[in-house]
Amino acid sequence: MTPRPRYVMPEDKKANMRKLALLEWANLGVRFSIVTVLYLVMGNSQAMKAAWLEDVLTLVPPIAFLISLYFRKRTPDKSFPYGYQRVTVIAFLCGSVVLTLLGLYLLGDSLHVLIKQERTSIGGIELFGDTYWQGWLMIAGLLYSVIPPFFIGRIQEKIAATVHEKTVYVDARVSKADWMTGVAGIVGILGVGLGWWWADAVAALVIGLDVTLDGYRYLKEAIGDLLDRRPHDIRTGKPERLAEELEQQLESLAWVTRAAVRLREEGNVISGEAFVIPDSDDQLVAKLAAAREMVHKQDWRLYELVIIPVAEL
Amino acid sequence: MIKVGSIIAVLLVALGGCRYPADVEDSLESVKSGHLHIGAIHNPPWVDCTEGNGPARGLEAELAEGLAARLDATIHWSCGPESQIIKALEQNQLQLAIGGLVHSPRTAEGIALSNPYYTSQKQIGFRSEADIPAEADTLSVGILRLDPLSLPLRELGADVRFVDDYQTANLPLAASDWQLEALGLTPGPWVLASEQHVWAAPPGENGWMMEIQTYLNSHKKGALRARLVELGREARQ
Repeated sequence: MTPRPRYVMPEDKKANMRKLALLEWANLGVRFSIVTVLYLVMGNSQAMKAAWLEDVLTLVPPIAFLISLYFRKRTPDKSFPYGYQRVTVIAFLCGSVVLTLLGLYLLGDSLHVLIKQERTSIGGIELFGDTYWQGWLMIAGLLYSVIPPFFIGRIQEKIAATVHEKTVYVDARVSKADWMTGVAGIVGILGVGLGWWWADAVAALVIGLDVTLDGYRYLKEAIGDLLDRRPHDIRTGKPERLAEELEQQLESLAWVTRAAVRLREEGNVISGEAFVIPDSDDQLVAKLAAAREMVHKQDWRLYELVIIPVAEL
Repeated sequence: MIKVGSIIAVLLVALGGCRYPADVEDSLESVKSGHLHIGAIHNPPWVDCTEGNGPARGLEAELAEGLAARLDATIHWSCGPESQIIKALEQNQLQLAIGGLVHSPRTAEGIALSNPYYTSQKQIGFRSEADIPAEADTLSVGILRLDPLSLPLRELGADVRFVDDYQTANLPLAASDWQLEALGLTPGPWVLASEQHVWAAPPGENGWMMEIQTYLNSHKKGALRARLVELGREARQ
C-alpha cells in the first residue's frame, strides 16, 4: 500500500481556516451559554421547551466540525491510504441531519399544538417582592439567544465559502434557523400575552418549514458527496465547471489530442482522474509530470488529480 | 428583520389598549362580572369540603374568599375528586381549582398551575430536642398511610411504621413542618421532601393567572404557616 502524500493548503487559506476554527470554538461557547440561560428561564411553556431542545441540537454541528478538523490533520497512512479528508463529509452529514431533524421537530410540534388547540399558559413570577409576567423573562432570555447567532451566522457564511467548508456553511444555516426560531418564540409569547393561543404555533410552523427545506437541501448535498457526485458550488448549489476547465487546460497542451476529467469532492478538497490521449509516447512520463504540476495550480482545492494516458476515450 | 420588527411594533401598539397578558376565554372579566366557580378538593387543612357544595373551609378556601372579595365576585363551590376537577378545569367549566395541590409536571398537564405560593417541608418530629439522634438509621418513624414518605425514610435507613392518627402514636412522626408544630413536636434536621403548593387555572388564561399569582404572592409565608398551625391544632380538638 502506498499512502497518498499529505494535502497542503495554500498559506492564505490556512489563515482563513484558523479563523474559522476559532469562530467555531466561540460559537460552541456562545451556544452552550444560550442553552444554560434558556434552561433557567424556561418555566413550563411548551414553546420554550422546543426552543431549548433546538438549542441543544445546535451544539452538534460545531462539535462535529471541530472533531473533523482534528482528524483531518492526520497524514494518510497504510490503513487509510486515501487520508482522512473525508471526515469532513461525515461532519457535514451530521450537520445536515441535525438541521433536518430540527425543522421536522418544529413542524411536528407546532402542528400538534394547532390541531389539539393547546393553549400556552405563562404565569407570573415573583422577583424582588413584585409579581411580573414570566413572559417578559422568557423574552429577555430569547433575545439573548437571538443576537449572537444573528452575527455569528453571517461571519460563518463568509469565511466558510472562501475555504470551501460545507460543514460550517451548514452551521451558518443552523445559526440562521436558531435566531429565527428565537424571534418566532418572542412573537409567539407576545401573541400569547394578547390572548392569541395560536400565535406561538403559527410562528413556529413558518420557521419549521424554512428550516426543514434548508436541512433537506444540505442532506441531499451530503449524500451527494458520499456518492462521489461531481463538485457543486456551496453558495449556489449548482455543479461547478472545474472538470471542463481542466479538460480545456489539458487539451491546450501541444502533445494532448484529447482529455477527459472526472472529479469528486473529498470534504473541503477535490480529487479525481484525468484521461489524456497523447500524440506520441515520446518522453511521456516527463510530459505527464509537467501536466500534473500545471493542473494542480488551477485550483487550490485540487488534492490529487491522477493523469492517465489512454489510447482512446 | 424589517418584517419581524413591524410585527413586534404592531403587537406593542395593540397591547397599549388592553390588559396584558390577556386571557383566551376572558376568565378574569367573567370573574369580575360577579361569579367565581371554584373546584374544591377535600384535603384538610388546605380545603375542607365536609359541607358538600356549601362554602368550603380551610386555608385555601379562606384565601379564595379573599380573592373573590377583591374582585367583587361570589364564589360558587363545587367539591369533588382531583381528577374530575382537573378535567373540568381543562374544559373551562371552572375558573379555579384548590385543595392542597402540589406542583408536579403530571398535575400541570393540560391546565395552568400557578407558581408555588407556599412550600411545606416534610420532617421528622420528636417529643423533645433531647430525643433527636445523630443518625436516622436507628429510628422507627410513624407516617400516615396517605403520606408518601416511606421512600425518603428508607433512604435515611429509618424503619417505617404506619399510624392511624398522629395523637395516639408513641414514636417519632414524619409530617409537614407546620403539622409537627401543631402537634407540639420538635423537628429533626432531616428534610424528607418539599411540597410546593400551587393553585390551578384553565390553560391559556394568562391574565387571570397573573391576578391569582399577584394575590397569592401578596401573602406572607409566615402568616400562612401560622394559620396552618392553627388549623392543625383545631383539627386535634
